Amino acid sequence: MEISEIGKLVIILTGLFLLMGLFVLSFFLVYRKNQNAKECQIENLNQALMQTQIEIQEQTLKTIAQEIHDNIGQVLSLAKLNLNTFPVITDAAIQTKMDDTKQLISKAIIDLRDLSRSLHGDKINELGLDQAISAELKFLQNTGQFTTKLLITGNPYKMASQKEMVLFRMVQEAMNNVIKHSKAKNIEVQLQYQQEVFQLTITDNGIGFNPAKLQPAQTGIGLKSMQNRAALIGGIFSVISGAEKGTCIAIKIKNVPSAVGILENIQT
Amino acid sequence: MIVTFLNESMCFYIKNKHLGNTYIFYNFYYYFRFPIIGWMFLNVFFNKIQKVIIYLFLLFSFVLFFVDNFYLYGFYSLHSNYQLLGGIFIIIISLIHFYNILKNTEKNNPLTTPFFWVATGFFFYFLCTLPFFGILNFLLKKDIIFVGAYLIIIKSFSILLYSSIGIDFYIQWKYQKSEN
Repeated sequence: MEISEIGKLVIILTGLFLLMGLFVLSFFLVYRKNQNAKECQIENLNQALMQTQIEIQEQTLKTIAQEIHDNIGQVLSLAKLNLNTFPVITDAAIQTKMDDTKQLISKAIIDLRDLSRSLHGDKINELGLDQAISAELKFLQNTGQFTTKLLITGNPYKMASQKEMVLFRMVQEAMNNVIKHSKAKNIEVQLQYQQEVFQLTITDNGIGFNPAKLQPAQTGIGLKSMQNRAALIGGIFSVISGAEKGTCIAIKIKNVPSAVGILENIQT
Repeated sequence: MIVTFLNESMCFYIKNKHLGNTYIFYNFYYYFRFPIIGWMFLNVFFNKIQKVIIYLFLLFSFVLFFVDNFYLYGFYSLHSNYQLLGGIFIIIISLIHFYNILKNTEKNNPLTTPFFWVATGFFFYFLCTLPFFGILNFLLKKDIIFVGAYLIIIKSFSILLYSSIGIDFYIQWKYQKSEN
């Protein structure tokens, strides 16, 4: 078949356009691949940075906890001992004051011990996540300002210690937010242990807030830090809240075999 | 796809039985096809200006439908101007879609994104058939034999187009399965 001039032109143009299309598509795919590689690199760097930050923070908290326990705790114990070795006082008023002081020092020692334990990361390793959270809630309950509840569903399993540590710090951060901002009376922490998913939920009945209306500056370090911590352990962080509707913070971790540690999440 | 299938079947039947001119069906089909493709892209575009481009084309299609049918071409000759402009429009919005993927800061692999395949299919189909559809009316008058032969190339691009749509369905099905 003889192809007319115009036919040849159409075929040439078709071929040219096809080549052009292939070029555009290849350029697009290669560019996107490079972009992904760069983003991956940045993500890894950020994760490593976050990991270092958390390690430094943990170390600082550990030092403070140690100081509280070894220094202030010891001083208070000594003060209590001194008071106990005082000779019997005949004046009833002074004796009452003395007893009150002893009680106050005892309370301070107990509170400091609790605080020291709370700050010390090793507590999570010793007690496990459930017990550590339970102790935190008890601590809050004892203040008399909150009613706390811990719900555990499913069969609890041990996760990588660093993962548990991060989760515990997130619970502490959330509770800190509740105390500072929420004006809540009830705090409920729920731990859901499912085969492949672990979910931690912290709910309060406080004044709540509208997450969408929060300005970047208003989100503070708290929420952002929780988000970063969740990302570090491969978790999905979400906040559900509304004005006068309380706040619910959830961290969902998929595929949680205990052997997987944070360091394994960071691809080098 | 259903409309395409019905249209093609009907035109094939009419042509085989020599019942008359099928251009009218193709014309109506194209006035349906391009806006529908535009509407598909509307769902994946989030930029206002990009959406406006599609809305403008929809409006333009509506206007051109009347202009072509009643003033320019009539019902029984191919509206190649609309085919050409529609093709260019689809190429542009496919490129916009690629640009959106590039601008997306989230790490993603376009090859695993269902709509990427649809956009790629449309992009190649309309880009490569553009020279043909652009001068189709002229070719029909000058070189009808070439038009018949060239249909093989059109069919090849059609196979590519529907294969990429098939990949889109497959990826969506895989996503749905993994979510369940």
